[in-house]
Order: sequence, then structure tokens, then C-alpha cells
Amino acid sequence: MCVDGASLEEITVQNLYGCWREFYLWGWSYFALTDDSWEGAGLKDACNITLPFAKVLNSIFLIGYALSDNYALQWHALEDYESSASAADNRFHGPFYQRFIEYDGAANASTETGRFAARDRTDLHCPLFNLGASYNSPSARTGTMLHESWHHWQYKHRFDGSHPQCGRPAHDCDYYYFHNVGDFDFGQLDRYDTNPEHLRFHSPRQVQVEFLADLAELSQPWVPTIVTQAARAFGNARLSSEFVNAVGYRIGDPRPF
Amino acid sequence: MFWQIACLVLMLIVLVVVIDWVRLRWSPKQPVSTHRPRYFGPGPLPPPIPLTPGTVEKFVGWVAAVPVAEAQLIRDQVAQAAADVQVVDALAEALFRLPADDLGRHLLLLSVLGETRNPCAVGPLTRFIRLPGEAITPPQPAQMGELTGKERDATLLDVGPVLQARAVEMLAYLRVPEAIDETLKVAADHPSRVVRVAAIDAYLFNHENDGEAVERVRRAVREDERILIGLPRRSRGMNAATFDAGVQAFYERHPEQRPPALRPPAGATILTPAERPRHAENPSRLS
Repeated sequence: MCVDGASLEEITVQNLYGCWREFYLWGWSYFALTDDSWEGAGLKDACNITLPFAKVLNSIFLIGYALSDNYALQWHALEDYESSASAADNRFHGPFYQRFIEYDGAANASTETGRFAARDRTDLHCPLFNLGASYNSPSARTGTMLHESWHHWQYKHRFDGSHPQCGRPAHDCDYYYFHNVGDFDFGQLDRYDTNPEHLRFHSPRQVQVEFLADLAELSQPWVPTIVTQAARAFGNARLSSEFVNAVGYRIGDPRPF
Repeated sequence: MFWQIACLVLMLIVLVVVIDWVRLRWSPKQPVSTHRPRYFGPGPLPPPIPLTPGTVEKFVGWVAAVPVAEAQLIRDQVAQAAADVQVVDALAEALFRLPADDLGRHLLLLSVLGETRNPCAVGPLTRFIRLPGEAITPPQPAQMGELTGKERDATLLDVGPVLQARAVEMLAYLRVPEAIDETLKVAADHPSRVVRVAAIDAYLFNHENDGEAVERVRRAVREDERILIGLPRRSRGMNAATFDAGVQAFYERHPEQRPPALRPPAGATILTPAERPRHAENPSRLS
């Protein structure tokens, strides 16, 4: 089993909504946390924030409620991120489901697409939930869920989902296809254009970082400080180390609060 | 007779596979509710906790929950204790309770230390930045074997540098000479790129991006990281057009950093995104 327990950020986020049945039923359904693997991970104890199931719901809460939908500044709309991260058959991807996997190795999550005679799926691993692990953080986990959902987008739109390598030692990275703030209207994150004259495209890490940037700087005014600080820290670290090409911006001002 | 039975069995197998495939791929496995329940906002914030040497953990717990729009409450609380060396010592002691098993708690400890702007914070912040990454991050769990099949992995980010990057931002924010000098050294020689880039940004932020500071950074940092000097910041108060222009200028100066051309997949239907019209003049279409 994973190492159960809740971080300060986890507890703070759950305190925003408490034990909310209507919400967790929606999260369970729309994000397809329906696999048997969740049975031993808190499926029947949905408000127990020390267990993986409630932790995923915490991340779903941030995806579904935390952004302000600032039309002038946000990279993409809340609905864009939510539809991408959800498991439903929609404009981003076909249907998939999400499993909980007790894998403790080098990956925090993985995605399987194009399965034979079976539904595609995303696996969420113990490093996303282990007490003491750096990813035991609702904001970090939301980024990972967005990243994995983008592999499903890649599959639907017939793009190669493998990651190029970068850095020393070499590790999985992506390219960053910069676009202006207004280049994608709200509701159009699923679209793309490969014409070099007006290239519009997203890689998995790019979607992940754009969400973290929006969460860090353009969240609802009630979003707790710990969430925006964690989102900024993870976003900037990824911008600096996980793209093959240099990314020409930073998230937020380097001030305390 | 044998071949008739074999054919029948084969047809049955094919039928089962096809039915299963259709069922799994095209029919919903469970009722999907796309209707997100309405959220009416959080309850009231607990009253502020005074920052004293004995209340560091409780104070950090309170800071965690303060809404981002009410950050001034935190600044006001820290200001009342900022000159107290014992408070700085208590914050530093909490910071060095390692390995860091709660990233958010550590991030906030660093932010509070920076907010004090107390020169006594220079020592602990510098020591923290110079720790080996493995002293900060909890040990990785044992490998349990390789994944197989078509899985695609999201890599695990090394969190020691994430916290050290925050530490160097707070070090620069202290704005005392030894902190500023150390920030420049970190920008030049820290083993982690994540920390070096944060140091470059923090140094310039605390010099209001002035030309002399840019030149000092240019002389100090690695040649291949000079392109990262003076990057635009995507922040709450930004102007979208200015931000866009800043990043576009970066890629014009460094065309080698543009991503390679993409080939559209054969047979794909491309839905080109329509440009959002005059976004700066439509600030709240959906809010």
C-alpha cells in the first residue's frame, strides 16, 4: 500500500468544502474513478483525506472550482482544463478510466492508449499519494492529471505521445509551443494548427504548466495561499527543467506573499 | 467434424472479443455526470495567530489557509514579529527539520522567513540553499520494477531544488548586501538549473530589472543560461499584450529556442483555434 497521510496543503484544500457528497459523487463519475482498484484506496471512505481517493477528489476540486476564468489573462478556461482532465468521451479524447496503482517506482502516473478490446486508462501511482512524497500535494497532482489527460488528446488526434529527452542526466521532457494569451479562445484548448506561420499546439507538460500558471496567478480570490505558492513553485521548476527548448517566461513575482 | 467445432469455437471467440470491444470502447462504463455541483465558497477564515517562537507551526497552518486575495493579513502579522531574532531562529529551526516531508509547509516557512526581511535570515537561507538536494527530499521509495506496455510516464520532479529555488527568492528579497551577493553566486554556481534560474530572476526583481544589475548577472552566470536573463513574469497584475510581446521578443532574439515544425497527422481534421478578439478589452466575459 501507499504511505497514507495528509499534507498541510491537502488538509487546507479539503477544509474549503468539507465532506460534500454531491461533489464526490460527481468527481467519482465524471473523472471515472470507478475501477475496483479504488476499493482499497478509500472509495468507501471518500472524505478520509489521508487516503488516495479523497486526495484525487481534492485535486478535482482545484480543477473544477479554483480558477477565476479571467478572460483577459488566463491561458485557458476552467471548462477547457476540466473537460481535458475528465474521463468522459468529449472533444479532447475518447472515454477512459482512472486506476489506482501501488507502483512506487520512477513514475507518478502513466497513460495507456489504443488498448486492444479494452477501454483506455490512466494509472495514478503511489508517489502521488505517499505521505512525505513531494507529489502528495493537490496542486501538483492536478498538473499530473492534466498532463496524463493530454496523452489521451494526443492519441485521439494521432500525435506521437512519447517524450523527447533533455537535461543531464537525460530525462523525459517536452517542447513548449508558446502562444499568446489570446491565441486560444476559451473553449478551444482542444484545437491546434501545425502551420509554422501560426503554430498553435500543446505538449503534455505545456498544458500542465499552463494550468499551474493559471492556478498560481489567476485563481479565485478565496483560493488558499498554500495552493498558489505550491502551484507557482512546481510550475517554475518544470519551466526551468522539463522543456527541450527554453521557455521565455516565469510564473509570478518572486516575493513572499 | 473437428474442423467444424474448431471454426465454431473460433467464431465464438471472435464474437466475444468484438462485443467486449464495443462495450468497453463505445458504451459508458458508468453514468457520467458532467454537471458540476455549485460551490458557494469557503467558510470564514479563523482569526490570525500571533507569530512567536512558540507558535511557528500554528502560524504556518493559519497562513496556509489565508485566501490569496487577503495576503495583506499575513504581511501585517509577520510585520509585528519581523524584528524578533528569536522568531527568525524558530523559523530556521523548523526549516531544518529535514527531510522535508511536507512541501507546502516548507514553502510557507521560507515565505515567512523572507517576509521578515530580517538580516538574521541570511545565514539559514544560505545554508539551506547550499544543502545537497538529497538532504532535503525524502528518500525515494524502492523501485518496484519497470512499467511495460504502452504506458507513458510523467517524471518525478526533484523537490529539493524546488524548495531551494524558493529559498533563493526569499534570500534576494531580504535586500541586504550579503544576501544580494549570495544570490548572484547561486545564479552562477548552484548545481541545479531550477535554482540558478530562480536566482537570476530574483536578483533582477530586487533590482527592478535595472541595466547595471542585468550586466552583473550577465557576467556571473553560465554562458548558456544568459538567454534566461530578464524573462517576462506572468503575474496577476500583468498586461497581456506586454507579456505576449516580451515572450515573442525572447523567441525573436533566440530563434533556436523555437520548437521544431510539426507535421499534421495523415487524415487528421484540424480545427484551428479562432483568435480571441481584443482580449484585453473583454476582461470578464465569463467571470
